[in-house]
Amino acid sequence: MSLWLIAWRSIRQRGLASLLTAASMALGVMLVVAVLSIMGVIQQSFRTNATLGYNMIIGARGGKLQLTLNTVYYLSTPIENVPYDYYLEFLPRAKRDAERAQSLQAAAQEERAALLELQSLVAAVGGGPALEEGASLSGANEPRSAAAGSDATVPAGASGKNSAVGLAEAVHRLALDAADRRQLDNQRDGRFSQFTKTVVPVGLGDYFGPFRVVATRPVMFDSLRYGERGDRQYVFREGRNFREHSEEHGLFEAVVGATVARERSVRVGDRISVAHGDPDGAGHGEKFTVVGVLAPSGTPNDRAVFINMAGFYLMENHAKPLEKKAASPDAPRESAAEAEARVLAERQARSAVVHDQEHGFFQPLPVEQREVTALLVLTTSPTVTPGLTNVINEGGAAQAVLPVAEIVGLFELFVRPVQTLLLVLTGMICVVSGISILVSIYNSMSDRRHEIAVMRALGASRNTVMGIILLESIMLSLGGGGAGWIAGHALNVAASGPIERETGVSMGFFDVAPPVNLLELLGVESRLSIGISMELLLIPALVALAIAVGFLPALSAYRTDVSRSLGS
Amino acid sequence: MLLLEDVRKTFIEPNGHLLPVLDIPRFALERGEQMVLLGRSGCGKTTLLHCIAGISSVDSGAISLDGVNLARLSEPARDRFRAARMGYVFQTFNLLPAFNALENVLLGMTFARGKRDVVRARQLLDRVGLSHRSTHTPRTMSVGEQQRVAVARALANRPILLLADEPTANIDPANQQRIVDLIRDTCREERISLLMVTHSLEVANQFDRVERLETINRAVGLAVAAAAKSSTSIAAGDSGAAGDSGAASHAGAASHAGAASGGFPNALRGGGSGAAPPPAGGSPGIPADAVPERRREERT
Repeated sequence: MSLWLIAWRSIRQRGLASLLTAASMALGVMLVVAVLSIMGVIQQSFRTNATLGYNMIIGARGGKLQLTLNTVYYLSTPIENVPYDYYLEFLPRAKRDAERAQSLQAAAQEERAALLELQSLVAAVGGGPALEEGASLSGANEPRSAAAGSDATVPAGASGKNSAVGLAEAVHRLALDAADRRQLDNQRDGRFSQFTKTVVPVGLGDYFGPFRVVATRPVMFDSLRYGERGDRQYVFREGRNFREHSEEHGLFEAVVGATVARERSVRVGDRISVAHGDPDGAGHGEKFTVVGVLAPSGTPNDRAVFINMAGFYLMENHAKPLEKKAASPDAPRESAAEAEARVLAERQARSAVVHDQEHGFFQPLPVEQREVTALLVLTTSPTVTPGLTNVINEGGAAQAVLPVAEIVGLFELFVRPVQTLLLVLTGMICVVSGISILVSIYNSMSDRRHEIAVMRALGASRNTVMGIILLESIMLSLGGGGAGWIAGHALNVAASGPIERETGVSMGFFDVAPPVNLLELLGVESRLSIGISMELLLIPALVALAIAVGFLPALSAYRTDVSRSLGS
Repeated sequence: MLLLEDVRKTFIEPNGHLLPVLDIPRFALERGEQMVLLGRSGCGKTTLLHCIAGISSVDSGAISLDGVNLARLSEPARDRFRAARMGYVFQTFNLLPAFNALENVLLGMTFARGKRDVVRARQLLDRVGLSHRSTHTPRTMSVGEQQRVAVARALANRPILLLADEPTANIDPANQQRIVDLIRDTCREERISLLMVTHSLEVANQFDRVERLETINRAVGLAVAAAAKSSTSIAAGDSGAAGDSGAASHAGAASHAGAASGGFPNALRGGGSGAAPPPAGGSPGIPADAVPERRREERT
C-alpha cells in the first residue's frame, strides 16, 4: 500500500473539510489561470496579429502607437492621410503607369463633362467663343507641357466679356488645369518599390454600425497571409473577394468579416451603406454590394467591412479638394464670379459621378484627389526593413512603423505591470488558500494523533508519517489546483465571446498562457532559451506551496509522542 | 530470545520530581514461549510493553530480542526492527478507520517492507474468520471482529514476538475466549513468542507461565510509596503543586490495583510477593536535573 493511498484515504476520511480546502485552492488557481491565459492569449494574439502578412505600416506623421492600433486593430482614430502619390512610390513602373493612365482617363471624362456643360451654358446665353469639342478632347488626352497649365487660377481676362462667356472660360480652364496636373511626371519605378514585396493601401474613417470600414484593394486578401507563422490565407465562407471593377457592381463591392456578418446579419448580395466619420455619423448615399463573407480568422479583420477603395473615393467627402497653386504676387485675385464658377464646376463633377453610378458606369477619382490612411508593407527582406524605415522617417512626408515593436513596447509599458499586479494579487489568493490547507490539516492533527501513533507502532518511521502529511497537503493543493485549472479555462471560454467582440481575439479551452523563458525567469543569463508556459510552472509552484504549508502539521506528526498518544 | 537486563525507566512528573516506573533486573522469554503478565493498573505494564517494542526508550539497561539490543538502536532502526520482528495487539484494537479490514492488515506490511503481500493478508483474515468481511471498514464491524482484524494485522509480518496489551479487555465474555484461542493457536503454529498483559484471571489461568509485574519490577513499590506520601500531604491540607494531583491519582490507582491484586489465586506462580525494594537510582524525591537529559520523559 503506497503512501499516496494512505494519504488519499486520510483526505477522504475528512471529506467535507478536504473538499472545502481544495475548493479554496481551486478558486485561487482559477483566478491565476484566468489572468495568465487571458492576458497571455491576448498578448500572443496581439503579437501574432501584428504580422498579418506585413511588417511595416506607413502612415501620416504622428503617434506611432496610434497608427498601429488604428491600422492593425481598428482601434482609436486615424491620425491623418498621406497622398496617394506616396503609395505609388511603392509600386513598380508598370503598376504606376497603369494608375496614371487610369487617372488620365478619368480626367478626360471629367473634362468632357465640363465642356458639355459649358456648351450648354454658352448656348443658353446666346454667344461666346466657338468651342470645338474634338480639339478640347484631344488636348486633354495628350500630355501637356508644364507651361501650358502652370496657372490654375481663372485669368482676369474674363472680366472683359459678358458673364456667360466668362463662366464658360473659367470652367474650361479648370478642366484643362486638372488635366495638366495629371500628366505623367516620368516613367520610372517607385522609389521604394525595389524593397517592397507587397503593399496594400487602406483608407479608414467610415463605419458600418459599430464596425470599422476599411477601404482597400483586392490584394488585401489575395496576397496577405495571417497566423502565427504567417502562412494562412483568408478564406471566404461565402462568396468571393471584391474586384477593382466588376461588370455587375462596378466599383462598389464589399467584403465583410465573420463577426460583422454574424452580428449584422449580412449576407452575400446585400447592399450596405456606410457612415462617415463615426458610428453614428451621416450615411453616404452610395451603396456597396456584399460579394463575400470571410470565414472567422481570429484576427481583427473579423470585425471589419472591406470596400473597394476606388468606390470609397467616389463617396461624398472622400475626394481630396484640389489645391490651388500658389498665386504669384502679380496674378489677379479670384473674383466672386470666378469662385462661383469653380464651385459650380466641382458640383457638376460630383453630379456626373452620381449620374454615372445611377446608370451603371463609373469613373475612378483622379490620383491627385486620392489619399490613403496607411500603407501595409511587406518588405522583400527583413534586412532592408530598418534602412527603409529610416529613409521614410527622415523624408518627412510620412512615418514608417514596425507594428511588432510597437505592440511589444505597449505591453512592456502598460500591460505587463498590470499583468504583474494581477498575478501578485491572485498569487496572494493562492497563498491564502494554502494557509487554509495548513489550518485544515493542522486542526485535524489533534484528532489524528492517535492514528499517527498507531502507524508508528506498526513500524512507520517519523519520516514516513511526516511524508504522509506532506503528501496530503500536496494532493489537496494539486487536486484543488487541477480543478482550478479546469475552472479557469472554462472561465476563459465563457469570457471568450466578449473579448472577441471587443478585440477580435478568440480563446479556446486549451489555449494556455504563452511560454516564457525559464532561464530568464530563474535569473540565469544564457543565450539558450527554454520556453515553458507559465501555467506549467503552476505545478511546481503548487507543490512548493503545499510543502511549505504542510510542513508545520507534518512536523507536528513527526514529533508525535507515540507512547502517550496510544493511550489517548 | 527476549531478555531484559537492568532495565530502568523514569518519568518526570509535572512538579519536576522523578517517578521510577520500571526497574527490572532481569526478565526472559524463550522462543515460542507464551506467558501472561499480571499487574495492577499504573504499575507499568503498558510502559514495559512499549519499551520492549521500542516505542519508548529506556533510561538504562538492555532489551535484547533475538540477540539485537534495542536499547542501542537508533529510533528509526527500532521502528524498522519493530515492524519486521514484532507484532502488537492493542487493548483498543487501534484499527485505522479510513481503511477496510484487508487494508488494515496490509498497513503493517507497508511500513515493514514497503510492499504488501495480499495473499498472506487474506490468509490471515481467513484464519481469524473474517475473509467475508475483508472489505468492511472498522465502523461496520463488531468489537470482536475488530480485535480479530487487529490480531491478523499484528501477525502480518511473521513476527517472532507478539505483544498483546489486554486484548480481551474491551470484548464481551463470549468473544474473549475466541480471541485468546486465536492468539495462542496462531503463535503456537508459527512459533511466535507471546507476552500478554491482562487483568483477566480467566485468561491468565490458561497460561503455563504467569508473572506478576510487581515481582519483576522493583519500581512498583516506589510508586506505591510515592502515592501514599502524596495522599498524606493532601490530607494534611497541603495544596501542593499541580503534580500532586497527578501523584494522588497514581496513588488511587495503585491502591485500587493493590486491592485487586489481593484477589489473585495462589496458584499463580510468582504472585503476591509484594513491592520490590527501592531501586538504586532515583526516587520520588530526586530532582529532575539529577538525571541526564536524554533519559527523561515527561509524564503528564
